[in-house]
Amino acid sequence: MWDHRDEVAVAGLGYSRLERRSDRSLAALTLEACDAALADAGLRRGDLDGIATSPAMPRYGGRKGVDEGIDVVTPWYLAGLLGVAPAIRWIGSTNGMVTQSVIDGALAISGGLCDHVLVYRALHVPDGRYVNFESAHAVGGDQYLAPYGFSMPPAWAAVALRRYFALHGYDRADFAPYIARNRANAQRNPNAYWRGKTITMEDYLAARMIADPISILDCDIPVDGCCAMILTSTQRARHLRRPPALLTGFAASAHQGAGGTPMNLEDMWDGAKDVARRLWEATGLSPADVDNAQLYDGFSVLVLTWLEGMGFCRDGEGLAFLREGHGDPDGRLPINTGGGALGEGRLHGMTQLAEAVAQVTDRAGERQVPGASRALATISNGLAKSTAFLFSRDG
Amino acid sequence: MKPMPQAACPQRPLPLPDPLSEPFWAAARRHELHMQKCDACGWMAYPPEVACRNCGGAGLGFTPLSGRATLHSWTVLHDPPSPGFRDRLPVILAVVELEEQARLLMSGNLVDIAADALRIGLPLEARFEDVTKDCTLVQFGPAR
Repeated sequence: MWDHRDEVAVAGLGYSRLERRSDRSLAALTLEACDAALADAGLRRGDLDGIATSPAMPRYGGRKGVDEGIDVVTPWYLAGLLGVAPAIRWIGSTNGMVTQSVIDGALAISGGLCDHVLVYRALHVPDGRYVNFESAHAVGGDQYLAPYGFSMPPAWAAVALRRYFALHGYDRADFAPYIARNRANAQRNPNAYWRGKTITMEDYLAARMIADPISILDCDIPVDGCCAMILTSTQRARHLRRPPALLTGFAASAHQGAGGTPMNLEDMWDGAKDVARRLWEATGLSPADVDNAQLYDGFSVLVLTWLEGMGFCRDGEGLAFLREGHGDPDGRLPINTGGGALGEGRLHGMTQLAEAVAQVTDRAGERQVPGASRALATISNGLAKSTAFLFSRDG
Repeated sequence: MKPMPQAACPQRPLPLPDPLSEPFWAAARRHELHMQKCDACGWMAYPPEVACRNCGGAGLGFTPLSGRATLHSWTVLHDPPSPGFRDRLPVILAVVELEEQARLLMSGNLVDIAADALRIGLPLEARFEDVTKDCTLVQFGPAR
């Protein structure tokens, strides 16, 4: 088990508005989220002494924007904008997903490097199409994919979802109940981009295909916006405004998988199981202890591979579990209670972390799972850069 | 002033070989499928890497493969993934599993077969598409 189990906590959460083509700069949206997280915790900017993120713009094929404050917000720049640069004792910036920064920040606190760490993820929607391979030449890893048109993540997810359907005798009609009810969950999430727009199973079945069987409703929507959280020691957090969400443990994986395609079903399962084994070892818990699961859903298929990989269902049984409503808010294991990224918008894992924190601190409002004491968050596709976190109620 | 001539439909992105990948693309130009193979453990890798991801070995050569494969999975795109695919729609993107090693996967396009005839496990074989005099892509079609 992790030596610092339950000793680090999330003390505050904050969101900016999540918008499409915002007329505010990414820097302005980031400040909005960070100030909201500080206010939530009952802290001031001057209390911060650590700051971390993964600042990269995830764009495939086209030019990746690198303009500070417009496309990206690095922690060095943000520390200056917050007026706290002289007080910052630890800065983390990772090429992995932002959830690696949560691990780094937790270790910085448990290691005594700093007292209050701001972890944030700011994402900007670039002009034009999000995925469009514009270059005449494909170099590096792209040379094995882009000449065939395999340059976009929805196509990578599509081959995994098709194989899942084919191996286990499902089709999109089996996914429709979950997709529609997940959108219903987003209606109870004030941060959700899709709040105010419900969908039906018929909408899902008629949705525009991006890469068959992945439709537009199987992909999270890119947004301009930011989500931020404040990490501190559990001891300090107990004196702050909100009840702390205790970080019971976490796990990360470097599972590489076969080459030749960025995502394949069997390696997504294997990687998720790798993460699961480490998480249960670190926490001393098991799937039966989890009250709600926030499973990464940048693409719908990932909910299935995490549900099965984490040990809640056997391989191939996850979609039946969802179809029968066992993942509903009143089901056996409420899943993505705020609508996940499919309902909230693309925040690269912050959605799952924030919802897990909200659930174990009774902050989830009308979507609260009554008495939820342990919440799981899993992030990414099970392959390298994937992480999982277990948050617990205090006391 | 005369109107500018209409630009032809741009080409698909072409692979730019590097020292690691050149033996693979050179074999493709000869209409052969070669894969990197570890001297120490025999693990075959695609794409080629600087070290064996199975054992960490650095002795890596290339070996010819049969080109026989089965269909692992596929997707069909109706919108072009890049401008060069505008006149090639719908495009079938396939992941194939090569006969010589479990989970030795390759991405490519399927040729000479309709999307509604596809099923997982379908026997396939490598086909070589000469795109320019310097570039041949490895594609897959139904096994003959």
